[in-house]
Amino acid sequence: MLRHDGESTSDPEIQAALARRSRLRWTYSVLIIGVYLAWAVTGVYLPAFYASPFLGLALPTGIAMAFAIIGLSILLAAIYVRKVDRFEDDEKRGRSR
Amino acid sequence: MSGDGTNLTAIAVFIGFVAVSLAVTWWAARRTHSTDEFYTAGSKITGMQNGLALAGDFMSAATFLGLTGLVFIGGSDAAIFTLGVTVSWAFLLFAFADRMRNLGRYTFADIVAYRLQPERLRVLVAVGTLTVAIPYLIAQMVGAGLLIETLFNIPYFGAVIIVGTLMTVYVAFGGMLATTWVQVIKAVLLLSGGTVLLILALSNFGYSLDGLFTRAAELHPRGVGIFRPGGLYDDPISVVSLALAFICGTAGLPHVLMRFFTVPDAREARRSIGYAVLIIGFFQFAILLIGFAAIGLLIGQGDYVDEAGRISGGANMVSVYLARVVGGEVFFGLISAVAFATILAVVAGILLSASAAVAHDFYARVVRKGNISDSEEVRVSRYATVAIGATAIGLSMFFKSMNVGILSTIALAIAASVNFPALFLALFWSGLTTRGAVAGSITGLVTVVVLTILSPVIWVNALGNQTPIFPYAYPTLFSVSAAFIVTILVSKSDLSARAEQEREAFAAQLVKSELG
Repeated sequence: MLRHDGESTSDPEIQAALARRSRLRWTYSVLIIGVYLAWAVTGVYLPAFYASPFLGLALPTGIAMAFAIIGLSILLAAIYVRKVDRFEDDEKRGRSR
Repeated sequence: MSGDGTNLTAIAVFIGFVAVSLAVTWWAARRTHSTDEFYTAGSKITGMQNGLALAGDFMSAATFLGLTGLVFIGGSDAAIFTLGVTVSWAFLLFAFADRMRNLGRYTFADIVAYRLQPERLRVLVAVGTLTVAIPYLIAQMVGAGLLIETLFNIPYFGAVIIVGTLMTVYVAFGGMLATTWVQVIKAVLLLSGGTVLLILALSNFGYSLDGLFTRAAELHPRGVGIFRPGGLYDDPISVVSLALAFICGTAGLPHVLMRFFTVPDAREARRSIGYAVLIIGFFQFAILLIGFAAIGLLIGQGDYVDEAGRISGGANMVSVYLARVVGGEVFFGLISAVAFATILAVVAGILLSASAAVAHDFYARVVRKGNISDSEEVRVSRYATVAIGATAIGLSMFFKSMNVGILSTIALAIAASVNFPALFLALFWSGLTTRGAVAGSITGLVTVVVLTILSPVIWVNALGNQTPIFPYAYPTLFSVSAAFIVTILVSKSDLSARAEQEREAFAAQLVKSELG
């Protein structure tokens, strides 16, 4: 873990670590919530398209998209956990150097 | 359900679950002496275990029984719910996991109070916790009572007393350790039961999704119309409000937030929510398919659902009927017992968060101002658990006829409007002051309660008026916005010296919250 007491909050290394985490957090949050809201609101305006068969199958397009968004949530969660773990490891190494 | 006697498998599995859970409680009680152990199981739960327990907290009877029934009735519209659940957990991971774990100790009040005036905020958060926990607890217990009445032929009052007593025993004696393990066992049971149900249902369509959806459209009275969104919600404001209830509500549920503190560090906290997203995502995927499969397999089966799609015993019974049709009496008994175990585990988690709010946030920190010994605080928590458990049993007797879905949605909307804005701004906005947080939370509470009463669900359906005064089913879009706006305006206009210190303290909180 990085050293941090009252004065060191302006430390550039800590600032960089904070910025990196903040960027990842908001990119992923906005992405997943945006995709979900866009899918839900579009359904209000394009119900016939959502009910239409997906790629000629009986599976409705709206439901196929819902499955894809569940998959995207899981994928983003897995990547996020790995990335922040790596940030933490880098920060630890940076400090012991 | 023909009501012809009781199902032996259901009783055997249920008694087995109760026996194992009581053994776990006995084991946990011998390891629960300090407040750390009582509230957070000594923060020694692993990421995987906590992930299962978190998923278990959220896979309540409302999701397993209620959502399957909702797919049956509402078709594609139900996907807004199932997707909302999954997305809200991913958001919880990205936005909250690290900061919550690094700043908190027992309850989420620890975080809101971190740099603000602790006493006023703890009272506020304790009230916020109870206004969410009590309706949620009653909703689950009423649901449990009705389910047991139908499945086991035990009278409603007896069923509520059994559920209430068991949950009180788990929490009062075993604290967080027992609650966690009961939740883990139930999550494994529910996941395996749900998966087997899905596979058995799919086998009826030759494992073809194409066959499943074709058959559902053939049988449902609305035909392919069941795949069109808009049956339940046809305006964008209702849809966005509902979506917000999930995203902000999940991140404001006290029993979910409390689980962040049961793991040793931020890394395990992230891991546990990562597992929870995976488990919940899979389960919501299964529920969508099980719901559509139920349409294809139950409609026209005279005993359960008539040609017009009316379900005997109500929509909550869809998954248990499906279990009987695809798996016979034994599997039906198994799924019924699992549904009951689900409720039991969920109410235990909620009860623990409510008793922590009363004993830790209110009594130990505000009334006694922290001058309380560890063993005395644990004793007070146990008394609080028994008192709240007894209150919940009593209230459940009065609310038998209340719609369970309405109660739990109200609880989620309150969590989104009261707890979420204060917590979110405490974590991310340096400008937050005590005055702002208090004003915003009260605004959120008043707005959500008033709008819910004036909305179609209560004003028209429950009170019998002709037209609703507030036209939308879900108030969250308005109540959450109101809470945020008032918090920000009051914080900005607060020019006191105390407010200035609170703003300055954010920099140190930021570093601690991110880097531990």
